[in-house]
Amino acid sequence: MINSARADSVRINSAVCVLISLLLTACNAPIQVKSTTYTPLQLENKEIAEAELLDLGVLAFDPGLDNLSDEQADIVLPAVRIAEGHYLANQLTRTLQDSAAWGAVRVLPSKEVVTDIYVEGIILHSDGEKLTLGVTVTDTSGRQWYQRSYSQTASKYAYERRKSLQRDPFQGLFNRIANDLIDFRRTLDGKQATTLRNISTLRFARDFSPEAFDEHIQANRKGVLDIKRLPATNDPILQRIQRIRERDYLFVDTTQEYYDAFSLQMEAPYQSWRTQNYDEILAVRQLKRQSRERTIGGIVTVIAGIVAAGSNSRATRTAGAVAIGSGALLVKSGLAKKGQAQIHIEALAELGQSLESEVEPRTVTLEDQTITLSGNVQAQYQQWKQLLQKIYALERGTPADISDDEQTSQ
Amino acid sequence: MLYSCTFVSLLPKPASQQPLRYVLLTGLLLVLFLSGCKSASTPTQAPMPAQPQSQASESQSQPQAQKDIDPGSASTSSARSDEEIIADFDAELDASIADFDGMILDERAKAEAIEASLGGDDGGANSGVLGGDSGGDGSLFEDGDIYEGLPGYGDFPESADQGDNESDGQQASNESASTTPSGDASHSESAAESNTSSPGGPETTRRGGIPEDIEGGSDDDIVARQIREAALKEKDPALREKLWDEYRKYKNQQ
Repeated sequence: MINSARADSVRINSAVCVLISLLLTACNAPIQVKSTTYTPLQLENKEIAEAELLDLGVLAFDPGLDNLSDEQADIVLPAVRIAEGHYLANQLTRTLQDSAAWGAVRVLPSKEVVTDIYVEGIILHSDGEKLTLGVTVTDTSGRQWYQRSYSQTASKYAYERRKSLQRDPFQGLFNRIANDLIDFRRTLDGKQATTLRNISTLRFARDFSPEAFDEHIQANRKGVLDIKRLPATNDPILQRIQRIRERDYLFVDTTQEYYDAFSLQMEAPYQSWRTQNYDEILAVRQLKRQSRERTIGGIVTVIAGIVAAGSNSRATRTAGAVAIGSGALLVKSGLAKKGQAQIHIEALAELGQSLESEVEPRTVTLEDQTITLSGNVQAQYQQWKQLLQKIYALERGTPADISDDEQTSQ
Repeated sequence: MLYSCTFVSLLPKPASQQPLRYVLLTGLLLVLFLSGCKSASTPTQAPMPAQPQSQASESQSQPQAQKDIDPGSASTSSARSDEEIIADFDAELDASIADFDGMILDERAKAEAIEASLGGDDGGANSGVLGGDSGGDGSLFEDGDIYEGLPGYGDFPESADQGDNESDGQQASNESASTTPSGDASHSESAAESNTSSPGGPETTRRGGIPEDIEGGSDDDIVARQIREAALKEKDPALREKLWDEYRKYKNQQ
């Protein structure tokens, strides 16, 4: 008898403890502490010789639509991601320009444009709160420098108006990418940098006059280009091609103007979307966590109450009944939180649609401009290639090639 | 072969009957033989190398005399012709490059016009972001310049604490600009250049001369405080706006 009473007492105490701990767990959600660090941009203080200054091209980022999780797919709109791809690439370009370690840094319309270093990126995650990018860097010879991923979570303060006026909320991430590029660049000596520039020159020349420059560079087994011999500096065909290359720079500069105008147009709506998204994302996460905790807590409490209800002790049975009622209320509250979270998820989708309606026409305009200009430029390049082919044939004293070529063109 | 056959057919005729005819015939045969030899040794017309279309019509209209080239100078003429053709190709390349430059410059002008129009419409916030991304650049003063002289951005209201000592204020602002991290010489020059012009950007709605987005300044360090005081003392609105921009910039770097 005494043992039975003691066992009941222990059971009551343990049940009460469990209930209290569950209630405390359910009601007191942990405070989320978010620490963010800002990485400053490294500046290249050492003077780099003109012949060793490498040009850098950033390609529009892959929107990463193929890698979306089911949860992300509900709130990510393709048009917004595509616009982000252009915008973020331009932001990185500006950061790289500021680092003063490179020659011309431009957003490139395609990898067919010849430059010394190519930076390609993919957006792995972007919702205003967190930005994750995958970055691949290759040089003009085809050698991959590295492939890394970068992630940053924005601080709430990043979206304060006075701060956002001066700096992108994810500027630290762009700075890290730029710093890594500078670090890798520093591992190259002057000769290697000059070689890369020569390879770019020969690639461009080979593209315009393959019969003249095809044997100057060749790919090895790994597909990496290597210089076999250099042309004379006063090579007349090379001099003509250099003049054309200066026009290629002009073309790239012009597309850069398009990207700048696009970024300018996108800036205000995009930052506004990020700010609102940030709040909504935090709200959704908090509500989901509360919903999960309350639902689990409620179910466990109900189970504990049911167990307690089978006790011989009247007090225990009473506590059990109370626990069942409390648990039911907790489950109900959890479901209500889940409903609230769903409202915020829908709000996120609406925000995305709103931004989509603003940026999609601008993205279309940007792509139209870039494609039209690229098309015109390529048509002109084709003419120049034919002209150079004729000149080369005449200079080599093989005019029969010209007449054949003209016949085929006719 | 033809001449030899003719010669053979004529041989059986008796030479004693018509000596004059033989002489004439022999002379004719010699003439024909020589003319036959001459025609065989005349060079055939060499194939003309390709020419640009613009030159093709010119070459066709050249006088016939030019086609009768002295055989001895044929190779020299061909080499010179190649050089001329290359020169023509180069001229064609030059012309198309000039066209290309014109096209590119037009496109750039269009893009720049779009940028300029956007910069004027959006209130300056955008250009501020684009210009000041990574924290150390030199585009700080560009924002205010976009709005200089634009309608709708009138003079700043004069605050009570401004203008007590104009020369002191000017000096202080110059000093503070030179002490700021990004206040290099070009910035000072640009500030001085815009000294005579107008108002700052629209994002600086004021309360007592202080833009709304500027906080109390209780956490200012000595540099920030100097910039702030210089901005408060500055009478010229354009320069004052640039000082406030400098202040924002400095605070954001902290």
